[in-house]
Amino acid sequence: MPNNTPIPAHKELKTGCHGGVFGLLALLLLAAMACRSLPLGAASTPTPGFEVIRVVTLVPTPTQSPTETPEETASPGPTPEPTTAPVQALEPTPEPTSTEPPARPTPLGGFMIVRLHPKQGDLASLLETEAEKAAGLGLEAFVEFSATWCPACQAIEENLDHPLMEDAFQGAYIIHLDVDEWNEDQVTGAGFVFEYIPIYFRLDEAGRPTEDFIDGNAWGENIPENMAPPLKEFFSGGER
Amino acid sequence: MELNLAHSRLHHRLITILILALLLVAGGAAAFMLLRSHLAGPRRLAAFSESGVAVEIRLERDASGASLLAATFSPEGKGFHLYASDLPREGVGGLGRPTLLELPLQAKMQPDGPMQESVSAGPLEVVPGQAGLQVYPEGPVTLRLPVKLPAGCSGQVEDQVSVTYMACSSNGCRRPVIERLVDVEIPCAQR
Repeated sequence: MPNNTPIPAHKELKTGCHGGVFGLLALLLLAAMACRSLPLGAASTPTPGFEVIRVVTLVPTPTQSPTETPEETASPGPTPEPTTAPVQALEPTPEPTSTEPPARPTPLGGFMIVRLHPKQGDLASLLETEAEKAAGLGLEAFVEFSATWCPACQAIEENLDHPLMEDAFQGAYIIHLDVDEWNEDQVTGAGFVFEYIPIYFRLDEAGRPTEDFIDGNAWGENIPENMAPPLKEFFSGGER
Repeated sequence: MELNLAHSRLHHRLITILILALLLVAGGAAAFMLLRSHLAGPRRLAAFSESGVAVEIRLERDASGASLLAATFSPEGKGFHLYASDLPREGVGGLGRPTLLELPLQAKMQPDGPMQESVSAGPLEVVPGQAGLQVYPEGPVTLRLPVKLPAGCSGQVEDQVSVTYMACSSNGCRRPVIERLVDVEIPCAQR
């Protein structure tokens, strides 16, 4: 039976107050999110040379990632088991136009992959900046050389969502460089010498390549079960 | 006594003439062989190594005397292969690059038939479960392109050929070489 009893005025008022308070809170929350998402806006229309390809956090943090989507921000807080909540793949920027500084990602667990383009500037300088960013996020910086025509490179890319691979990349800040964009002079000028891709170099604090690297020879078939263990050892700093 | 002496001189002269004739025949034969090999045998036009592949370009003649432009691509390092010549230029879904021997538009040589390959390509499964790309077996691959040599000239002329390739193993690739122009010197067509 429908309840047609009129709501008392004070109750209506109270409900209205509650609604107003919630509305205000929601507005404040939205404003805060909008402020925080300014970098996201920058990442959506990426600045020259900087492009966040993928952010994977295994430990959700209260702070919002600049690359999180509204749906992702609406997701609840901590979950008992590690999840791969915010995974963001941004469209490549064909022609960077802005000269604004690159979007600064907020701290995250998991790992992050960013892409640099030659138009942003000298590779060595860019890597120095990225290494600082990685350190600021509590991640370790690595450079990945890859290309779209390389089947083994694409096998890694396609399997990044696999739990084993996500686990292997944990703690890594991957700076993705496409060898079609970066010519040999630019690459060797920054201290990288290699003949074979995919290859990952560990960077020192100044963003310079160390002698520690791993390439596709470290595994057999290009399946997560083969790729993840040596990659995990490498990214976690273990002896291989 | 005098008769014997005359006979001996004659004999000596005959032997000398015979030796000279033999030398002449041998020299002529050697010169002919040299000329023949120069005209008909494989002639190395250029050789270089880039991105882990040694490339040699030659001019050959087939049994019928037709000219063939040949390029042998030899991947350096164990486990590396080259992709089939009929792969799209931009690869399959972006993956791989074809092995090609081509004549640029401005080339003096002209193609005179379809390209031939020394080995057949087969599928290679890089990612288990995914369709494989067509690759040649490990080791050298020779592509041969029937060509018409330039007419209306004499001696040698400068020309260019174009090569494209990429060497990969199951676990990685070297940089592709795309339409690299190679300077060559070719003989003019015989009239």
